[in-house]
Amino acid sequence: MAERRKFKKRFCKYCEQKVEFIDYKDLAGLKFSLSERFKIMPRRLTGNCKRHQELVTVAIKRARQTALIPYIVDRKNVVENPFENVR
Amino acid sequence: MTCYETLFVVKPTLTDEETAAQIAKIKEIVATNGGELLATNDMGMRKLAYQVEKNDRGYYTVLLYKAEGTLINELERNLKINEDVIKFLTVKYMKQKELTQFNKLVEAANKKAASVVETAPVAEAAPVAEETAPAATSTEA
Repeated sequence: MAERRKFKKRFCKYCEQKVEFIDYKDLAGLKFSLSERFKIMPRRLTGNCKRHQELVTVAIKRARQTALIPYIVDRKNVVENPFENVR
Repeated sequence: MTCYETLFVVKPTLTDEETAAQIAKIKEIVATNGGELLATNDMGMRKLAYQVEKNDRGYYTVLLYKAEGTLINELERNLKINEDVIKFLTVKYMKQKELTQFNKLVEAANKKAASVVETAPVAEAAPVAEETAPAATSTEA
Protein backbone atom coordinates (compact mmCIF):
# COMPACT_ATOMS: atom_id res chain seq x y z
CA MET A 1 0.00 0.00 0.00
CA ALA A 2 2.90 2.27 0.65
CA GLU A 3 3.90 1.96 -2.98
CA ARG A 4 0.41 2.62 -4.15
CA ARG A 5 0.36 5.94 -2.35
CA LYS A 6 3.54 6.93 -4.15
CA PHE A 7 1.70 6.75 -7.46
CA LYS A 8 -1.54 8.38 -6.42
CA LYS A 9 -2.21 10.50 -9.46
CA ARG A 10 -2.60 8.08 -12.31
CA PHE A 11 -1.71 9.47 -15.70
CA CYS A 12 0.79 8.29 -18.25
CA LYS A 13 4.02 10.18 -17.74
CA TYR A 14 5.20 9.27 -21.22
CA CYS A 15 2.00 10.36 -22.97
CA GLU A 16 2.28 13.75 -21.35
CA GLN A 17 5.83 14.25 -22.59
CA LYS A 18 4.92 12.69 -25.96
CA VAL A 19 7.66 10.09 -25.76
CA GLU A 20 7.75 7.94 -28.89
CA PHE A 21 10.68 5.72 -28.06
CA ILE A 22 12.39 4.63 -24.84
CA ASP A 23 16.11 3.99 -24.96
CA TYR A 24 17.36 1.03 -22.96
CA LYS A 25 20.63 2.83 -22.17
CA ASP A 26 18.80 5.69 -20.42
CA LEU A 27 18.79 4.17 -16.93
CA ALA A 28 17.55 7.28 -15.15
CA GLY A 29 14.41 7.15 -17.30
CA LEU A 30 13.83 3.47 -16.69
CA LYS A 31 14.18 3.83 -12.93
CA PHE A 32 10.65 5.23 -12.74
CA SER A 33 9.16 1.91 -13.81
CA LEU A 34 11.33 -0.27 -11.58
CA SER A 35 10.65 -1.37 -8.02
CA GLU A 36 13.29 -1.30 -5.29
CA ARG A 37 14.18 -4.85 -6.18
CA PHE A 38 14.39 -4.05 -9.87
CA LYS A 39 11.13 -5.67 -10.82
CA ILE A 40 9.05 -4.04 -13.52
CA MET A 41 6.30 -2.03 -11.83
CA PRO A 42 2.78 -2.86 -12.97
CA ARG A 43 0.73 -0.40 -14.95
CA ARG A 44 -1.85 -0.03 -12.18
CA LEU A 45 0.82 1.50 -9.94
CA THR A 46 2.79 3.64 -12.36
CA GLY A 47 -0.19 4.81 -14.41
CA ASN A 48 1.59 4.14 -17.70
CA CYS A 49 -0.69 3.53 -20.65
CA LYS A 50 -0.54 0.15 -22.34
CA ARG A 51 1.45 1.35 -25.34
CA HIS A 52 4.15 2.96 -23.24
CA GLN A 53 4.24 0.12 -20.74
CA GLU A 54 5.11 -2.19 -23.63
CA LEU A 55 7.95 0.12 -24.69
CA VAL A 56 9.21 0.32 -21.10
CA THR A 57 9.11 -3.46 -20.74
CA VAL A 58 11.20 -4.03 -23.85
CA ALA A 59 13.70 -1.37 -22.77
CA ILE A 60 14.07 -2.85 -19.29
CA LYS A 61 14.56 -6.35 -20.65
CA ARG A 62 17.26 -5.10 -23.01
CA ALA A 63 18.99 -3.26 -20.19
CA ARG A 64 18.96 -6.47 -18.17
CA GLN A 65 20.52 -8.45 -21.00
CA THR A 66 23.41 -6.03 -21.25
CA ALA A 67 24.06 -6.04 -17.48
CA LEU A 68 23.03 -2.41 -17.09
CA ILE A 69 20.42 -3.30 -14.47
CA PRO A 70 20.18 -6.54 -12.47
CA TYR A 71 17.65 -9.31 -13.11
CA ILE A 72 17.16 -9.92 -9.41
CA VAL A 73 18.33 -8.45 -6.14
CA ASP A 74 18.87 -11.05 -3.44
CA ARG A 75 20.90 -11.61 -0.30
CA LYS A 76 23.46 -13.86 -1.98
CA ASN A 77 24.73 -11.26 -4.41
CA VAL A 78 24.62 -7.93 -2.67
CA VAL A 79 24.98 -4.99 -5.06
CA GLU A 80 25.90 -1.99 -2.95
CA ASN A 81 24.71 0.72 -5.28
CA PRO A 82 23.19 -0.53 -8.53
CA PHE A 83 22.54 2.97 -9.80
CA GLU A 84 26.09 4.10 -9.26
CA ASN A 85 26.44 4.90 -12.94
CA VAL A 86 23.23 6.92 -13.10
CA ARG A 87 23.74 10.63 -12.84
CA MET B 1 20.15 -0.66 -45.80
CA THR B 2 18.76 -0.80 -42.31
CA CYS B 3 19.78 1.09 -39.20
CA TYR B 4 21.31 -0.99 -36.47
CA GLU B 5 22.79 -0.37 -33.07
CA THR B 6 25.24 -2.78 -31.46
CA LEU B 7 26.33 -2.55 -27.87
CA PHE B 8 29.21 -4.69 -26.68
CA VAL B 9 31.14 -5.05 -23.45
CA VAL B 10 34.89 -5.69 -23.43
CA LYS B 11 36.62 -7.40 -20.51
CA PRO B 12 38.01 -5.07 -17.83
CA THR B 13 41.28 -7.01 -17.48
CA LEU B 14 42.69 -5.66 -20.75
CA THR B 15 44.96 -2.63 -20.92
CA ASP B 16 43.78 0.59 -22.56
CA GLU B 17 45.60 -0.17 -25.82
CA GLU B 18 44.20 -3.69 -25.98
CA THR B 19 40.66 -2.40 -25.38
CA ALA B 20 41.11 0.20 -28.12
CA ALA B 21 42.46 -2.52 -30.42
CA GLN B 22 39.42 -4.73 -29.76
CA ILE B 23 37.03 -1.87 -30.51
CA ALA B 24 38.96 -1.02 -33.70
CA LYS B 25 38.78 -4.67 -34.74
CA ILE B 26 34.99 -4.75 -34.42
CA LYS B 27 34.66 -1.45 -36.28
CA GLU B 28 36.77 -2.95 -39.04
CA ILE B 29 34.35 -5.89 -39.37
CA VAL B 30 31.52 -3.40 -39.88
CA ALA B 31 33.55 -1.46 -42.47
CA THR B 32 34.78 -4.47 -44.48
CA ASN B 33 31.30 -5.99 -44.76
CA GLY B 34 29.79 -2.93 -46.38
CA GLY B 35 28.46 -1.23 -43.26
CA GLU B 36 28.34 2.52 -42.89
CA LEU B 37 29.41 3.50 -39.38
CA LEU B 38 27.48 6.62 -38.36
CA ALA B 39 28.56 7.14 -34.76
CA THR B 40 30.27 5.54 -31.79
CA ASN B 41 29.14 6.14 -28.26
CA ASP B 42 31.89 5.30 -25.81
CA MET B 43 30.20 4.66 -22.48
CA GLY B 44 33.49 3.72 -20.85
CA MET B 45 34.25 1.46 -17.92
CA ARG B 46 31.14 0.67 -15.90
CA LYS B 47 30.18 -1.57 -13.07
CA LEU B 48 28.09 -4.51 -14.25
CA ALA B 49 24.74 -5.12 -12.56
CA TYR B 50 25.65 -8.77 -12.14
CA GLN B 51 28.77 -10.86 -12.65
CA VAL B 52 29.50 -11.91 -16.21
CA GLU B 53 32.15 -14.59 -16.58
CA LYS B 54 33.38 -13.57 -13.11
CA ASN B 55 33.90 -9.95 -14.18
CA ASP B 56 32.51 -7.14 -12.05
CA ARG B 57 33.16 -4.36 -14.52
CA GLY B 58 33.18 -3.93 -18.27
CA TYR B 59 34.07 -1.45 -20.99
CA TYR B 60 30.88 -0.45 -22.86
CA THR B 61 30.86 0.70 -26.46
CA VAL B 62 27.87 1.42 -28.71
CA LEU B 63 28.14 1.41 -32.50
CA LEU B 64 25.43 3.04 -34.62
CA TYR B 65 25.54 2.03 -38.27
CA LYS B 66 23.64 1.37 -41.47
CA ALA B 67 24.12 -2.03 -43.05
CA GLU B 68 22.59 -5.00 -44.81
CA GLY B 69 21.18 -7.80 -42.69
CA THR B 70 23.93 -10.23 -43.68
CA LEU B 71 26.47 -8.10 -41.84
CA ILE B 72 24.75 -8.85 -38.54
CA ASN B 73 25.35 -12.58 -38.92
CA GLU B 74 29.01 -12.02 -39.60
CA LEU B 75 29.40 -9.46 -36.79
CA GLU B 76 27.61 -11.56 -34.19
CA ARG B 77 29.59 -14.64 -35.22
CA ASN B 78 32.81 -12.72 -34.60
CA LEU B 79 31.56 -11.30 -31.30
CA LYS B 80 30.67 -14.80 -30.13
CA ILE B 81 34.13 -16.15 -31.00
CA ASN B 82 35.94 -13.22 -29.40
CA GLU B 83 36.73 -14.13 -25.80
CA ASP B 84 37.41 -10.54 -24.78
CA VAL B 85 33.81 -9.55 -25.52
CA ILE B 86 31.62 -10.64 -22.62
CA LYS B 87 28.23 -9.20 -23.71
CA PHE B 88 26.69 -7.83 -26.86
CA LEU B 89 23.27 -6.75 -28.08
CA THR B 90 22.11 -5.67 -31.53
CA VAL B 91 18.96 -3.61 -31.96
CA LYS B 92 17.26 -2.93 -35.29
CA TYR B 93 15.55 0.41 -35.94
CA MET B 94 12.73 -0.04 -38.43
CA LYS B 95 9.69 2.13 -37.74
CA GLN B 96 9.62 5.83 -38.53
CA LYS B 97 9.40 6.80 -34.86
CA GLU B 98 12.35 4.59 -34.04
CA LEU B 99 14.35 6.06 -36.89
CA THR B 100 13.86 9.62 -35.67
CA GLN B 101 15.14 8.47 -32.30
CA PHE B 102 18.03 6.72 -34.04
CA ASN B 103 19.05 9.97 -35.74
CA LYS B 104 18.87 11.73 -32.38
CA LEU B 105 21.14 9.09 -30.86
CA VAL B 106 23.62 9.53 -33.73
CA GLU B 107 23.67 13.28 -33.20
CA ALA B 108 24.11 12.94 -29.45
CA ALA B 109 26.93 10.43 -29.86
CA ASN B 110 28.74 12.63 -32.37
CA LYS B 111 28.37 15.67 -30.12
CA LYS B 112 29.76 13.70 -27.19
CA ALA B 113 32.69 12.44 -29.25
CA ALA B 114 33.46 15.96 -30.47
CA SER B 115 33.42 17.39 -26.96
CA VAL B 116 35.77 14.62 -25.75
CA VAL B 117 38.28 15.38 -28.51
CA GLU B 118 38.15 19.09 -27.73
CA THR B 119 38.59 18.78 -23.99
CA ALA B 120 41.10 15.92 -24.04
CA PRO B 121 44.27 17.89 -24.87
CA VAL B 122 43.46 20.51 -22.24
CA ALA B 123 42.23 18.44 -19.32
CA GLU B 124 44.17 15.22 -19.72
CA ALA B 125 47.72 14.16 -20.56
CA ALA B 126 49.01 13.97 -24.14
CA PRO B 127 48.93 10.15 -24.62
CA VAL B 128 45.20 10.10 -23.91
CA ALA B 129 44.60 12.70 -26.59
CA GLU B 130 46.55 10.62 -29.08
CA GLU B 131 44.33 7.65 -28.37
CA THR B 132 41.10 9.51 -28.95
CA ALA B 133 42.28 11.07 -32.21
CA PRO B 134 42.55 7.84 -34.28
CA ALA B 135 39.19 6.70 -32.97
CA ALA B 136 37.60 9.91 -34.24
CA THR B 137 39.16 9.56 -37.68
CA SER B 138 37.98 5.98 -38.06
CA THR B 139 34.36 7.00 -37.49
CA GLU B 140 34.57 9.42 -40.39
CA ALA B 141 36.09 6.85 -42.75
